[in-house]
Amino acid sequence: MEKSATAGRTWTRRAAASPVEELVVWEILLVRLPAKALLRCRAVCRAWRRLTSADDFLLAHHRHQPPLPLVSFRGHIRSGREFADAAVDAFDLWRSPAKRHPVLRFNDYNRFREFEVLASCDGLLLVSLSIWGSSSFYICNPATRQWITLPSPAGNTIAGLYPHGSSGEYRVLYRKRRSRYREGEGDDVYSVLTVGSSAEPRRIGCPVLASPSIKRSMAFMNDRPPVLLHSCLHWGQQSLNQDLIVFDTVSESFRCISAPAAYNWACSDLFDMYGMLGVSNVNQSQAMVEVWVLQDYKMGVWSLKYLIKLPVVEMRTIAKRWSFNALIVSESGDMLVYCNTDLHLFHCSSDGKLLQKFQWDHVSPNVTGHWFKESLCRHSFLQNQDHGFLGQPRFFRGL
Amino acid sequence: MASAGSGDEKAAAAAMITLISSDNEKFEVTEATATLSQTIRHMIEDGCTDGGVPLPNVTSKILARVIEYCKKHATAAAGEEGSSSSFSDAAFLEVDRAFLEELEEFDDAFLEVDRATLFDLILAANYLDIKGLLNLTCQKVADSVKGKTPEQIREMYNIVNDLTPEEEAEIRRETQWAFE
Repeated sequence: MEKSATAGRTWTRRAAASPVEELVVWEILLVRLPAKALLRCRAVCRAWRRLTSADDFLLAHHRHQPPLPLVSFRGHIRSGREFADAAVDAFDLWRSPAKRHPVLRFNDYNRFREFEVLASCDGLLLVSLSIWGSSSFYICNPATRQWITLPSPAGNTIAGLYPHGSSGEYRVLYRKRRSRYREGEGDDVYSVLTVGSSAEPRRIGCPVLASPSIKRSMAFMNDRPPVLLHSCLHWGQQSLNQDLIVFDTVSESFRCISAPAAYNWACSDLFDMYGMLGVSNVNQSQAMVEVWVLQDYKMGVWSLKYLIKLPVVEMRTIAKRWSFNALIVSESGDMLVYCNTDLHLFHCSSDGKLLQKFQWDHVSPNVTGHWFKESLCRHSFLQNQDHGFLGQPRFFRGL
Repeated sequence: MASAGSGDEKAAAAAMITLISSDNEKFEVTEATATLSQTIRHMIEDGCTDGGVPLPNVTSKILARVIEYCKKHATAAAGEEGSSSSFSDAAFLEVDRAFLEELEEFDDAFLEVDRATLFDLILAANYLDIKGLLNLTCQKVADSVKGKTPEQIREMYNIVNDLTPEEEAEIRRETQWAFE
C-alpha cells in the first residue's frame, strides 16, 4: 500500500547517502525557504525540528531572504461606513510575473481606520493604526505573527528603528521637530526608547559630532525612511548643500557625510545596495536615473553605477503622469518605477526596458519606501503570545 | 581577427588548472572555468594550485558535471563582459538574447538528474562555492518543498517521521496559520 503510493514519484534512496551528509544538504536547502514553508518543515521529523529551531540557523535563514520593497494596497471605498480590504505586501520582482507576499492584511479598512508602516528593520515592522484619528503603535514580526504595543510617541515623530550592538535590544529613535523656518527655536530633540522596556524614552537632545553647522542640515532632514548600514541610520535632506545625515547608533550622535555631486534634494533617494549606501537620482526632464554607490564608506568615495534611461514614453501612455520615482530593487539595477498619485507600478531593467506593468482593480498601490526581509529570529520582547483571532491586531486579521 | 583568436587561445592555454577528484581522476580546465568556484579562485590567488587542486569531497562523476556547468557559464560571463561595452549594438543584443535562452535551456537540462546526483551537486556547489550552481540546484528542491505539507515532504524524500503525535501537534499549534 505504502509502496504504491510513492512509486514513480520518489527518487530512489541511494545506498551510500549518509544521514549526516543528507542533513547537511537539507540545511543548505532549508535556509532558502520562505518563513511560512520553513515553519511547516518543523513538523517533518525531529532532526528538521532541531535544525530549524536553532538560533544560528534562524539567523542564516534571515540572511538568505531577499530584501523586498513594501507596497501598501488600499481598496476603494464608496461610503464612509463600508469596509474594504487593505494590505502591506512585499513586492517580489525577482519572480516573473512579480509576486505579492502578504505581510500585513486588513479586512476592515476605510478612511477612518488608517494604517501606516513607520519603520522596518530585521524583519520587524513599526506600524501605527488609527481609528477616528486616535493612533496606537506596534512592533510586529509578520513572519511569526508576534507583536507588542508601543507607548504613544506623545508629540514625537518616529525617526527610525534599529538593533543596538550586541545587546539584542531594538530601539526606536524619536524626533521632536522645531520649526525649521524660525530662528531661535532651538534644535530638534531626540529620544530613544528600548523596545519592550517599561522605561520612558530616554532624551538625548541633539548630539552632534564635529562642526555645529550640521545642525542646519539636520533641520532640513527629509521624512523618507532612513537606510541602516554599518550600525548607522542615513537620511537625505532638503537644503541646497550636499550633506547626508548620519546617526551613529552606538555613540548616539549625528554627523554628516558628503552626498554624490549629483545629489538633488528634490529627487534623490537613499537605498541599501547590498551592503553599500546608494543614491538614486531621477532627472525628470531627461527621464534619466543615475545610480550612485558609496564605494568606500570610510573615505566617502562615490561612484556612478548605472545611468538608466527610463521608458517614459511607454509609461506616460499608460499612467498619464509626467514624473516618476524609481526604487532600485536589485544589484543588476532593476527598478520599481512608480508615481504614488497613480494606480500603476512598473518594473524596468537597467537597460531601460519596461519589463512588467501592474495595475489592480479598485486598489491604490503606494510604494512605502520601507523594505522587508523575513526573519524567524527570536526576540525576548516578543514571546509567548496566544490571543486568539480577536485578540490579534487588525493588521494580522486579514492574513 | 584570426591572430586575436589565437592570442586568446594562447592566453587560455597558459592558464590551465588541474582539478583532482576524490577518486584521483584529473581534469584540465581553463582558469576562467575554474574560477567560477570562489574556493578555487582563492586557492589560485594564494598560489597553491601547482601540481593540481585536490578536491577530496567531490567524486569524478560529480566533478565532471560541475565542470560541464562551469564551462557553459564561464563562456556566458565572458560574453557579458564583451557586450557591456557595445550595448547599443542591436545585433549584439539579439545574439545575447539567443545565448541567454540557450543558457536557460542548458540549465533546465542540467537539472534532469536523479535525487542522489542532485544532492551531491548541491554539496559540491556549496563546498566549491559556486553561487550560480548552488542557486540553481537549491531552487529546484526548494520549489518542490515550498507548497507541500509535512506528510507530502516525508513521502517525496523518504523521511521517517520520528515525532510523537503529541510533539507534532504542539509544533502545529505553535504556528497554526502556517499549516492552514
